[in-house]
Amino acid sequence: MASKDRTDEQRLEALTDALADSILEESDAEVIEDLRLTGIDPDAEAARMKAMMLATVKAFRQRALNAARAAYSHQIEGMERKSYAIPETPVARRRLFSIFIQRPQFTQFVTAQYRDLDKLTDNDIESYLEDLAELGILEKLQRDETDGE
Amino acid sequence: MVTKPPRRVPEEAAATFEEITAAIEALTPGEWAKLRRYADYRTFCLGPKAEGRTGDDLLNTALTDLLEDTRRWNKVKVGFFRFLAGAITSISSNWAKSFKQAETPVTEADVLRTDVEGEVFSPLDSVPSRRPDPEQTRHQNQTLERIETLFKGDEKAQMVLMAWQEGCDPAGVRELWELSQNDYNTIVRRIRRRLDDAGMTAHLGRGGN
Repeated sequence: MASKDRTDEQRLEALTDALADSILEESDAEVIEDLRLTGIDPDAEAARMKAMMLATVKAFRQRALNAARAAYSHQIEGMERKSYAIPETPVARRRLFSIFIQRPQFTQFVTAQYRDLDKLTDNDIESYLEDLAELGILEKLQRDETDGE
Repeated sequence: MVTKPPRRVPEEAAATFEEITAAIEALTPGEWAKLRRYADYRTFCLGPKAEGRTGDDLLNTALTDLLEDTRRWNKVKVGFFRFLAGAITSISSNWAKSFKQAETPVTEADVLRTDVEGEVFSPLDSVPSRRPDPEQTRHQNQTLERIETLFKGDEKAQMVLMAWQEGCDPAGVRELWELSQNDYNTIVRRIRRRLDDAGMTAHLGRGGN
């Protein structure tokens, strides 16, 4: 019956492909009837499949949310790590800030109110140094000082 | 066969999470039934190459590929049902082609491409089939024999099955045997339902019981 130049694999593949494709060409009513005849309740099956797919979407979104949270935590940790570059005592911070405002290459970063050290609180200085550290300017200052510039 | 060039659906045309969720909610009972049956039949096509994977796995892989942006659905060009059916075809085909290819292992996500129509194709399509191993050969031979036995007394079903095995499409089968569309549909339904009754295709999606 079958031609000699086709292997069993090719014949079976062509047959099962045609069989599968026949589902897509069939009317909805007939496929629902097919399901019923195999003992499956089409409504219950549709509900099960819908729940399965919606659960997959939900799980995926949860994963994406968790990844975003992890990335945010990582970023915060990084920012906290950078703040360690700031001296620990108010006196040392004030000294560093004093050096900073005296360097001509950094004058553009300091407004007039920050040039008067006596009027700045320890909190003002700490907060300003944190901003400078975040921008990488403090690191550059420390590098310049080390290099003797 | 000429492989289509890799043209991906542009990001701005790809469906969002909300659109995907809405599309799942909007599938009709007939479409769910077709997806169930189509995924089961694609698993049946795979035979041992399914390696224990089910119709549910096929459907979930299609959805996961979409969520992970491995595949993109252009909702303007293709309906969600058609997109899923196309993805199921492509995934099952890739599973078959990557089956036990120890020398050239590939993961599906590495090779899939989607064109602007939302159709997914794989460069693996142009890879020639390997020589089947003895287990596969035995499965193929036994399945064909079993089908032949099932339809021994049904001449019309045998005619359609033979034409399918020779690679005829539905129009070709009808022309070859001078069958009307209605006659052809009736015979095909009979074939499907007898195979289901024999336990060859039904319930495959839920573990092949």
